[in-house]
Amino acid sequence: MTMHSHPSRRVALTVLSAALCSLGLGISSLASAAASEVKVGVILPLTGDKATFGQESLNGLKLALEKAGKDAPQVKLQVEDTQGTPSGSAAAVNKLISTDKVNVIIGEVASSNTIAASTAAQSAKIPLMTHASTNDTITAGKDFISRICFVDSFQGAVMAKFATTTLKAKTAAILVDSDSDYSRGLRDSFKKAFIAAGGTIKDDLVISYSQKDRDFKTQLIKVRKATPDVVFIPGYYTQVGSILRQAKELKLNTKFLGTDGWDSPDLFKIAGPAAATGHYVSSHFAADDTDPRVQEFVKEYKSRNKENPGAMAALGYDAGFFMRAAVKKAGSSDPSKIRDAIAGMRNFDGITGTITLDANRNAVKPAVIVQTTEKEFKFLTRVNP
Amino acid sequence: MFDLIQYIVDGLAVGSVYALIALGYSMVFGVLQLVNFAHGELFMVGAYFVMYAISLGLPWPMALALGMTFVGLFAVIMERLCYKPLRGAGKLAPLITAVGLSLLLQNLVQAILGPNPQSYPAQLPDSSVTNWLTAAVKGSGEVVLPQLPEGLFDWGDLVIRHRDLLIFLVAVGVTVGLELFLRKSRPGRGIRALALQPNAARLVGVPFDFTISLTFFIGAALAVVAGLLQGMADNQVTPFMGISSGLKAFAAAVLGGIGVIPGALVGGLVLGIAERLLVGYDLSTYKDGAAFFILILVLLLRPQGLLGKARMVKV
Amino acid sequence: MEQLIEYSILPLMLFGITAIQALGLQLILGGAGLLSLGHAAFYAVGGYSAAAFTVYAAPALGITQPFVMMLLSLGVGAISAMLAGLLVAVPCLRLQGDYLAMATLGFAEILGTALKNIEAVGGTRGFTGIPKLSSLLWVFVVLALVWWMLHRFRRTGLGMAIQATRDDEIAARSLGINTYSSKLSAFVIGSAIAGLAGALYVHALQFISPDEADFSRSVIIVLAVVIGGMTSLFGSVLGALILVAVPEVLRFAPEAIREQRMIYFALIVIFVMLFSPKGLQSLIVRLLPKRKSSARAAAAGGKS
Repeated sequence: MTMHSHPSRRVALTVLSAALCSLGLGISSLASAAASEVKVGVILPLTGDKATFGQESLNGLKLALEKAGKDAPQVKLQVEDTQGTPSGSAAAVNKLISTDKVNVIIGEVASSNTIAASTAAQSAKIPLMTHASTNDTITAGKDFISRICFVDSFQGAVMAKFATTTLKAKTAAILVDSDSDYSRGLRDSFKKAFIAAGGTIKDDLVISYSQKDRDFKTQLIKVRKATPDVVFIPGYYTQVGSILRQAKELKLNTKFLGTDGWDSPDLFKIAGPAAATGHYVSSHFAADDTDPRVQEFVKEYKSRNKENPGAMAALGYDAGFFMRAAVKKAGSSDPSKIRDAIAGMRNFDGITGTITLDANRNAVKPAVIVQTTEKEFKFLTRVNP
Repeated sequence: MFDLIQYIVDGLAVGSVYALIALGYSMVFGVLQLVNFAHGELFMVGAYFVMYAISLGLPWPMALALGMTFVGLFAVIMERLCYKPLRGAGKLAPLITAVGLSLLLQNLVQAILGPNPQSYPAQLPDSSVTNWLTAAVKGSGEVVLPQLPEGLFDWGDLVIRHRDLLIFLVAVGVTVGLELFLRKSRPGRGIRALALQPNAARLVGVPFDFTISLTFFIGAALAVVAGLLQGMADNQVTPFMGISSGLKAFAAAVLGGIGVIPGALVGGLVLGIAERLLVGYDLSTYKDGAAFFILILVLLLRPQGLLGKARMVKV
Repeated sequence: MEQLIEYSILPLMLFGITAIQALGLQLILGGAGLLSLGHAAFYAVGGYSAAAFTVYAAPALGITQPFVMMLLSLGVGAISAMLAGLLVAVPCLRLQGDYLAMATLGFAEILGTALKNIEAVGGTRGFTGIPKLSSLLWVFVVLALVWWMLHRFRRTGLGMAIQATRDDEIAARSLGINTYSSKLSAFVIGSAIAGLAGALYVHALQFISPDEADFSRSVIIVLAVVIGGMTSLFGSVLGALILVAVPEVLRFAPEAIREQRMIYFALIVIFVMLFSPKGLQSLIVRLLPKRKSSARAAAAGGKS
């Protein structure tokens, strides 16, 4: 039998310590809320299996804010790591809104994570602008959610057209990441466009995998037996790297088509140079694009971060300038005014293309198709919407 | 029909890694009736250790031997510091301590080496210690990365990778070797005696603490072998690989009959096959539940496992 | 002051929700001496059911009043978690010690896998579009009720039977206590309390995914109960407070220190198990000046 003190004393103790903690919290938050600046919350996958996306986005964003000059409106970033998961994103966005009192939010990268975050942002009427989530449903019916990248019904169609016209493919297989809204949406849009262009995709060649999988042999052997002309993998680089590597081991010589989820330097590390070479990927940006503004960005980014920027870095960079422009246009830190400024943005000149938001707050802009070499992506062509 | 055979063959390779980890769970449980929750983390630490040693320029057999020794000794120290003081303190205390140790190792590795997946050649953290280490080891020149055999047996409908065969053979070889060691050698028989009758074993002169340390050492060393194979096969290690593979390996050990060495192999293989069948028939979203479904069925219907003899479960 | 509270609402809510979960596990782990490594699964089941109720059932039934919706969803969360607890406990409580721990873990993983495969609640990608009904007041009212109820419960016949079963199962049986049913009631009540926490959580964060049923989440609740001291209700609440407050207090600390909180928690758990099995609450209670009333309560006996 343990001795124990009187319950009321312990209740009082708990209440007291909880109050003390909240006091500490409150003071820390108050101290950081200076007068007229706009607080921009940022949710990114800084750790986990999409971490290079988060890191690159943040590097690009910071570079943009530094370059914008002193006369631009003052913007303060409050960055939260989502660990690349939907639950991490929901928790992060709630913290930004409730504790940090941000005026506007940028992020996430993965569509499922942005969807998880969007309910809270919408109901608190805090605008959330994603720089990289492409799934079509993200902005639907939520007037505070917007994006500065293209949508997957466009991206899937771009790759289907590339497969049927440039590669002359007649048959295709699709490997789908069943844990991701992004992958499922692209599966549908690619399939629709590919079949409309006269190709065939058998039902048993639409094969799913999970983000936790490490061994893809079973899926790849199905593909190997059917020998389709192309294999479309709308997925994220961590799993895709392993898939490419194992496809090489199984001597699967089909051409692979990918999407912007591939666009990470880690793809080449995980797959290895031999397995990474020769695939076609749709993305937002190519570092070897000859456009002088792109080259200036690449040079500056490289001198700061010791590596070439990928698509996420470029989108983060555009998001920084775009946000500054929207805040300036709004002329206020009021979330609703910032929301209107974002939604009304036309012909914003970014390094990932000219960005105009349509009535559903989705950007209408071109995609690029790049080809993989042993260690990087090479610019191939640009496709306008 | 060929599909079915293909899935079974694939499952053998997946299950072999579970089996190598399961051996450690099985041995420790046999001797101490303790689920060493941190065992999966030893597998993870082993995979990292070997990957870094190889990336520093050590040839793989030397990296593996060093890793087995280091992680083995680590497990021994862990037992002495955290489990030994709790002997006789009931079931709950060592189990919670084990959960704490697992959490500690996972987060320590994450803090030191980063939370993101690493692939060969691993990027070492930039510090004076690692720079000195690199210089000391790399004196000989080029880093030669280990490669699992790349070939393929290709019979049209049935495809087997050489590396899958290799992993399977290693698992079988290790299990046979371990069983022989436990039956024929003096320290091995000590371990068996302790598992069977702890007090009687002490009376006939089995060195108690030494034998328990030896059990932890061997279990950890085998987990390092599994870590090397898994790391090379996936070309990826993460701080979280221990928890998922570890829990499944535990299920495999229970399935085969915990405390029974060949049982760990059989349990691992059955589990691997079950998982691959689910993936093959497009039920991959149910895959992660399969191990635990089997675990619970076995616990409720046949707690001694497939190969275990029925005896009173010590409670 | 108003502003201070407003800034702290979310951490305080998370503290309250964690504390409710911990109180539920305290009954199972500290009260009945059963290590459940799957407590988060009941929390997730409660959360999912409560969310499914507000998103699908409530509009169909024509319930629109937020107060009524929240109240009913708490009931739905608690009952569904209780049923899940019953489903797990009936077969598993025949097992003991490590086997029981592993079986609860296994069941939690299976429940998580099941949630991943229900498309109506978003599958692996999680359940979105949940209305915001929960508030700090809701959380603290539920916490206070649960705490008070558990405090009273220990003095009831069933409450004492549970403790007797933990202390010595054979002796308890010889006294005519049905040890199986007392363990079962502890497990089921503890699960229902987790379900309440789940219902509060989904209506605060407006999102839930199968991750919430993960083993790692169950470990967090075990941490709260063990760090605070698993033999007392106060210890569980204290443990929850430590888990939620430490990262907030460390806001000013350098990032290298702040980010490693799980390492400290793991070290504290090992330390507590090795040197201070009654947890940190015993240290705090010892430091406080004794009052007469508390001395009397102590003399009256009764295990916390």
